[in-house]
Amino acid sequence: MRSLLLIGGTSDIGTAIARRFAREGRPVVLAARDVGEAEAAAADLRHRFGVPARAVALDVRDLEAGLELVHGLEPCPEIAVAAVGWLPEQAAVREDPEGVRRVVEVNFTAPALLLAALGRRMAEEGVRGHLVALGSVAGDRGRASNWWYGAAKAGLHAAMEGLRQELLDAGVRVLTVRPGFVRTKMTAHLALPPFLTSTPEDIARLVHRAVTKGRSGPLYPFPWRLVSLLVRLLPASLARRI
Amino acid sequence: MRVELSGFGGWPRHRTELVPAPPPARIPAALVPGTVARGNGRAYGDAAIGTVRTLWTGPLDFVEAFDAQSGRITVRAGLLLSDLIAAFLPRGFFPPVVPGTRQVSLGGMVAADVHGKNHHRAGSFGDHVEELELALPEGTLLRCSPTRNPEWFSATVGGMGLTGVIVRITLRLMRVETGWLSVRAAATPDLAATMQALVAAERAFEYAVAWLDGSARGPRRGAGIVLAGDHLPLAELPGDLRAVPFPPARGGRITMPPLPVPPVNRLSLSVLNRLYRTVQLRRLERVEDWDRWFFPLDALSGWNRAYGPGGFVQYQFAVPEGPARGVLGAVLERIARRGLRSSLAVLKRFGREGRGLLSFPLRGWTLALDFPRTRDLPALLAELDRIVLEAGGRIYLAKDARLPAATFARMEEGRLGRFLDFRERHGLARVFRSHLSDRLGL
Ligand SMILES: Cc1cc2nc3c(=O)[nH]c(=O)nc-3n(C[C@H](O)[C@H](O)[C@H](O)COP(=O)(O)OP(=O)(O)OC[C@H]3O[C@@H](n4cnc5c(N)ncnc54)[C@H](O)[C@@H]3O)c2cc1C
Ligand SMILES: NC(=O)c1ccc[n+]([C@@H]2O[C@H](COP(=O)([O-])OP(=O)(O)OC[C@H]3O[C@@H](n4cnc5c(N)ncnc54)[C@H](OP(=O)(O)O)[C@@H]3O)[C@@H](O)[C@H]2O)c1
Repeated sequence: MRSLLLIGGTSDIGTAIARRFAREGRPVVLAARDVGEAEAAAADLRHRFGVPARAVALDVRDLEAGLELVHGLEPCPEIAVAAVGWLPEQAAVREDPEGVRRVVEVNFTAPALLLAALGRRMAEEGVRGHLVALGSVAGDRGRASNWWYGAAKAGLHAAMEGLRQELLDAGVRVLTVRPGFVRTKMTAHLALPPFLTSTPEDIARLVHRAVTKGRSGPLYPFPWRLVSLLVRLLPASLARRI
Repeated sequence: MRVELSGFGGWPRHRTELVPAPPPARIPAALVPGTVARGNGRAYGDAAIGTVRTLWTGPLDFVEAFDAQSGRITVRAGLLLSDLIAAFLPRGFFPPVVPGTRQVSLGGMVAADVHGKNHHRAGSFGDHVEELELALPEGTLLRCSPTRNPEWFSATVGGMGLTGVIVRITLRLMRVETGWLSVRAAATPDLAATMQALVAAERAFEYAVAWLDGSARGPRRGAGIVLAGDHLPLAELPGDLRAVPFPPARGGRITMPPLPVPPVNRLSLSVLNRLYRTVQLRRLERVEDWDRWFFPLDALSGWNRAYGPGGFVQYQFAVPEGPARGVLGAVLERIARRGLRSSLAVLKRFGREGRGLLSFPLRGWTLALDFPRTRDLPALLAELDRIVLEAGGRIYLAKDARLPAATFARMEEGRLGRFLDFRERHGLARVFRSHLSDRLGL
């Protein structure tokens, strides 16, 4: 079985997705900047599920290193998941050039570029694979509280939609997960409404089912499809405070 | 994030800052004065609620090493027992000791030094732990075992999170040929018979436990069902089960919705007791899968909510062999006299003292009783405290939510000093504080 590549190998959602696929015997490669923790995660996959699993060091902001990694992986993975993300305090990055650069690179440029490179490899090598990007409902409409993050995620959504069309004929599927609220280290400091909040395992199940069925396009957990629709349709005059 | 937390009993509730644990090396930096670790929150009372900060170990769930020859395994302490079983039972390994629910973390199992239905043979969980690694305030990770830093080891096993955050655990899993057990059930007419049957079952079986019928009155008080079981070797597995030597956990769990009115009351209790009895006695000898045998309560998730928003209290005590018979009789009699009903009563005989300074098990008997939280309950439990204290018994802290500090101090007179001294000497008392430790002066 071809492997799953997880970009953001220490992400809580990403780890849950990797486990869901490893459970059925799929080998895993974890790319993360904290390679020690990623190696511990890889060891966990090996011991729990008996699959080959390894960690590679990658800071996604080093785009050249990312491309080198993607081109060097042998054999070409069948599933690539980009779970890197950074949700800063909006006020802290608002007019801070370095913060802005970082929020855009981690949430948009790097995942889009690396998944695009993988998509081309899959197409060229005849791998009818799956690209999975972790987007966000925050990218469905700008919000006062996190618009740099949301804008970067919106960029990612647009890139993934373009990639989906581009790779359609090659049989490569492109999913953009918009998970709503998920209880992870990224949101540990926030009070989240229980009814709208998923676990990383919920998202992993959702992604697993969508990949297995060969689906493409945006992917929401159940209540969020509706929430997102309302958020997008809300007239600007009413959207002052969402 | 600030939240209101409770234990499994739903009471008491306290506000605390809930912080997910970072990787082990970064935990020391997350320890502020007033911190305690929280595994999966299955302790009934206030043991896993920090006075200031509660460090949730859920993210620390990696299996770090496993040796299929010896069954030796090293895991991070937040790993759930259910996940451990799911990964290793299919390879023929099972934990040597498990409590009555698989929704617990391995760290919580060490910190409470949990016991199972095989205590008379296997001792408690701490007896199978080879090494622990603790995160401590001064930026250090400390390893301890029965031979290395042994005083840290014995303070930590059963130490209710008050000696540091356990980050790694090494233990040995045992080999099993199947995930099935041969089970025998026997009805008993009264307390003496129940105790006798339990002693007999322990001699012949690996696992033995008794369920007491809460609706039995008068001379039948203490009547119940003694359940005994053994792991089934492959050769003895009935033909139709050969295809699934390691059955998975039961899927499709039923979830109890939160209801405004508690459906557990006098009437439903006697119906439930009768139902349980009928089901258990339908087939006296049977083959049962591991999940049903060890974790019967896990099938109904959220059943603790059946007691309504007021929550419930579990009272579990242990008393030495000598006075046990009299104590158990007196306890059942007091409950009846006050007109209260326990919704669940489980009786078990312990084999030996645990390894920990504050381990719960002692050579004797233990009874666990669930009570809806009613107005009359505190007075009854105070009476039971006195009986237990006089008999030289103790209360299980993992279940406790209400024991007064003075009673606790007298019950633990012989052991408490050393534990407090250890906490003081190593500067732990200031940092590791739960609502339980504040309440009990631990
Ligand atoms: C239905 C049910 C049945 C049960 N049956 C049994 C039984 O048969 N036998 C038995 O012995 N117990 C039994 N218990 C009790 C249960 O096993 C213990 O309370 C256990 O400690 C719960 O584990 P947890 O991970 O949920 O811990 P929590 O409830 O989160 O914490 C319990 C204690 O452990 C400490 N702790 C947790 N993790 C760590 C860590 N990493 N480092 C340091 N301290 C830590 C906490 O500070 C706290 O003091 C049962 C509980 C339930 C709900
Ligand atoms: N949690 C939610 O509610 C939620 C909602 C919507 C969308 N999302 C998205 O879901 C994805 C996964 O998030 P999560 O909830 O699992 O949070 P998470 O655990 O914090 O994961 C984010 C990951 O991104 C990695 N990362 C950040 N900057 C990096 C860099 N420069 N190089 C390499 N890795 C980097 C982090 O690595 P380190 O460990 O090294 O920091 C971390 O592994 C993210 O894209 C997030 O935006 C989450």
